[in-house]
Amino acid sequence: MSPTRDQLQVLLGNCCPIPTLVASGTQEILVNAADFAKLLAHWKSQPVTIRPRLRGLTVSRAAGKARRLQLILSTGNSGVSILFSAEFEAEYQPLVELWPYAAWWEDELRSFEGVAVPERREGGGISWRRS
Amino acid sequence: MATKLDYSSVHLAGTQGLGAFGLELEEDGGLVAAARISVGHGRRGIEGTSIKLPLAQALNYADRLDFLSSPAYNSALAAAFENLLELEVPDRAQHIRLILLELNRISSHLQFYVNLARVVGQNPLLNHCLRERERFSDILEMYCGSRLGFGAICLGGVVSDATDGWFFRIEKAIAALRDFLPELDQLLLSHPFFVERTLGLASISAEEATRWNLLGPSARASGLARDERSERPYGAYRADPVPPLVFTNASGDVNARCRIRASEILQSAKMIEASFQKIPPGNHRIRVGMEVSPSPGKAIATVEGPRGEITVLAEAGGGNCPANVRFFGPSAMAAQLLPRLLRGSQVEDVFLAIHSLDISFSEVDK
Repeated sequence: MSPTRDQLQVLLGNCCPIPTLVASGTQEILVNAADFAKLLAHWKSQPVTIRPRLRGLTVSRAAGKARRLQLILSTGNSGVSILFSAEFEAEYQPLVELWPYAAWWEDELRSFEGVAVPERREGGGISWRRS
Repeated sequence: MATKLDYSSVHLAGTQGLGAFGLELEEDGGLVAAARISVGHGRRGIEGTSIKLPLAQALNYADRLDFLSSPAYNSALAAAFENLLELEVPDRAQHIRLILLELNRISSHLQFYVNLARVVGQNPLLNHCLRERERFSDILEMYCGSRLGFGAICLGGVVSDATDGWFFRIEKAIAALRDFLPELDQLLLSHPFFVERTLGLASISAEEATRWNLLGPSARASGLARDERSERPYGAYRADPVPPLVFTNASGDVNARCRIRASEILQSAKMIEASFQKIPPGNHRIRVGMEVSPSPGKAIATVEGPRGEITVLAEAGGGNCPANVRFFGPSAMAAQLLPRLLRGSQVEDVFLAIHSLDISFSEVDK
């Protein structure tokens, strides 16, 4: 199922242009670092009930290209999944304020992908085994 | 004075049946003052290996991720690859996939009760749960030759067609299971000792469950209506809607988490029986060559596994191997909740609380 224009409008606010909708398959939204920062602020200002749900967080592995942060988000009650590809190389902005559970995936990015995610002060009581 | 209790991953892997993980507790006056979990003891690098394999082989490899929900991981990755290949899976194959997924859910939930019976020292019940689970392992073996469902789902459909003999065996196993569930209730779930011990233990409110993205039966036991099969139906779940779950006490404690799985077993049994009536004739798969190469693109697929939603991101770069494969499973979300959940509970209740979340550390490690 693809998202509707209204769902994308709620998701993106006025932070970046609404992309062309795909008829079927996965809707991907590409944003640059500046727009991504605006989007994070937009989501932070939204009530938790409207805020999109993060279903997964990773980085792209496409060879020969700059790595991009990939967020799998679902919007509203319909739960349509959208793939969000954002530039992040300049400075990684932690997502735990928006989604506390993103800490798990950020730990994975730090441990296995070498992304410079800031260490959490508290640590959360769970750690990856270091050999 | 606090005492440190250190459980090694080798010990826990051998005694708890959840996979390898490390647990360190700080005990003070019989209560847990702090808990630390370490993961990654059984990391196999499945995502990294998958990108070196052709699609069909990567698909088979994915079901090693969590041996208790192999058809679910298989099905999620197959859906993502089929999306990339723009393949239309035949209706009959979709229905057989639904039956396999629900059989797997029943089998996994029975394994949950095996582990639970062991933790509370109910050894006779442990054997009865294993006996019931064996029936479902036999059914999977009859279908695909493997007792854990490895390789049952392939690109474009399922490995073999379903036969009337197979359906008959499933009906008999479900009938036996329906006779067994009252016994499980009497000997364990409604037993006064068990109820007294588990009511209010390691409680997770709906707000906390949302905040920490708890998924699957554990989230539903906290009152969250999270179920991919009814929220965003996929495959044959579009034609066969999920019957309502008969479960009223969504209090979010260990008792609710232990009880909800029995209700889900009955729900799955109903779905399988309904699917028998609707399964259409036709092909069970579209033949896809080993060297098939999808055009570059990305696909997301989500499946409701026995422990909750499994999301897969697959990326094609133009070759016959995927450029990227990522799995996001429910066990990791439950595992990161553990240190908070265990704090303040009695030391003897620690493993009961851990088991109630039905975490698979094999899935966490990937």
